[in-house]
Amino acid sequence: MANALEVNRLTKRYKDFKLDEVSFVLPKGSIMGFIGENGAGKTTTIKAILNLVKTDSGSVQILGMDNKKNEKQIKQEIGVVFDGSNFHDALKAKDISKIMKGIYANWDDSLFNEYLRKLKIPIAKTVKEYSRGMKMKLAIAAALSHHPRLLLLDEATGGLDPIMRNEVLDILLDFIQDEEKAVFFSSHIIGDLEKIADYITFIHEGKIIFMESKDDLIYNYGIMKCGADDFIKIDPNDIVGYQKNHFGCEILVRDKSKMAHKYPDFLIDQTNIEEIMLYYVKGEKR
Amino acid sequence: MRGLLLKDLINLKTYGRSVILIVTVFTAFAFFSDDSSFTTTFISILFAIMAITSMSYDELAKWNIYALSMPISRKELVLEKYLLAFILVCLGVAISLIIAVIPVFMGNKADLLMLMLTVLTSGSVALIMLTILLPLVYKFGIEKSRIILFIVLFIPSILLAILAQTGLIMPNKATDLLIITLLQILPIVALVLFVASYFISVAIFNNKEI
Repeated sequence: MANALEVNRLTKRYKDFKLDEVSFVLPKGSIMGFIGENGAGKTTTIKAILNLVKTDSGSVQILGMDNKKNEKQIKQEIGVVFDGSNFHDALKAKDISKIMKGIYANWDDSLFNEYLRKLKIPIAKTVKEYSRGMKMKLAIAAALSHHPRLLLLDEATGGLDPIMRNEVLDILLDFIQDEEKAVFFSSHIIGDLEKIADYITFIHEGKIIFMESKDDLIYNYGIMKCGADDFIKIDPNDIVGYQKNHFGCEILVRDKSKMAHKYPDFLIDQTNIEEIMLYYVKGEKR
Repeated sequence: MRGLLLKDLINLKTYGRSVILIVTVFTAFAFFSDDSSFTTTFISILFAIMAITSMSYDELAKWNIYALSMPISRKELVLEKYLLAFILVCLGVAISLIIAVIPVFMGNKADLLMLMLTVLTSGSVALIMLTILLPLVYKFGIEKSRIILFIVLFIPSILLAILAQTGLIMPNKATDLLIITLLQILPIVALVLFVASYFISVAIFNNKEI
């Protein structure tokens, strides 16, 4: 079993939204960033992976097991962090440790304490007294302390200041050192993903637009610049998305080197994930 | 299951302290009055409501979705709440019983058997209240259920009061005996309904989108 997570043509219809045949694969030993604007279907996808919503069709394999048939066993072996803390205000870190010990077969008190120390989480305070960032870190520490093999994080770095974010990202990178483990990480903070993700999956209006390795993505895509008059000379098939401005056109293209060969007169710039996402969502198509 | 129960008990700790305070006040009240049935009913309802309070804590923390991402099934989540509710009602009954019985040992004249019946009846009423309320909370959430709780509790009380006023029910030996017999089987009826309510809640919760 080389994949930690396999999502296969997952479909879920709502009145005004559809998760449309979502498929992607997360190999073990890697981190996948799951990006898309608010309402694109990120949280719905994660809920469907966790079997929290009923899907219309498709299947999910987690650590080689079906997410419906082997739900209990899977959930012993995954850690989940949702957007915001799900712990009650009255709890303290040591209460959480006691509660989790009664839930997870592999709960590891000393590992939890180690994470609390590493992430500088105050143990004398109740959750109510924590800042949003502290709550987030507590949830991450809790998700890691039963030796999970797969981590699912839904917007888990939102609300963290840059220093806290770095601490969390370091912990994720540390976690992935064991080649048997994997992280699935939804976020719209693209910077975080650029730092740590191996793969980027991009969802837009309930559909997967691409699933590619981050390096390929940054290396292959480019922004081609041309004058407004030259724009019609470009084959529409080569245009992923474009924006027109006073000086001409900026066009997002796939396969940068091939494009440079095909259109030698135009300049092609480096791009980044945020730009790619913007051109897909905001850019016009011809 | 153990973890979930522990979670609820820790969360109810502060609330429980205020309940103890209220119970103390009402115990004093019961000593000075001849009739302890009000106190026992009040205490039973107070303890039953703690189960609902724990559900509002869960709702506030968005606990359920998190719990379901752990190795906990929807059925277990519901079962734990019913178990907690049952434990709390039993606790309420036990405390009511002590409060009701103490004056007897202090020399007050009272029928011990009748007292037991009163306490068990108030426990049953609390259990029936939860029987109705818990599925409603699973269906509609805490906020809406609060209003329904009011209706569930007050309409029968008002109806009974009106009925008593009109004199349709004339207390006599025959009806007294009937009522006592009915009250004796009430705890069993309440328990059966409570178990049925659990299955209804599981069905509701299974169909709910989290």
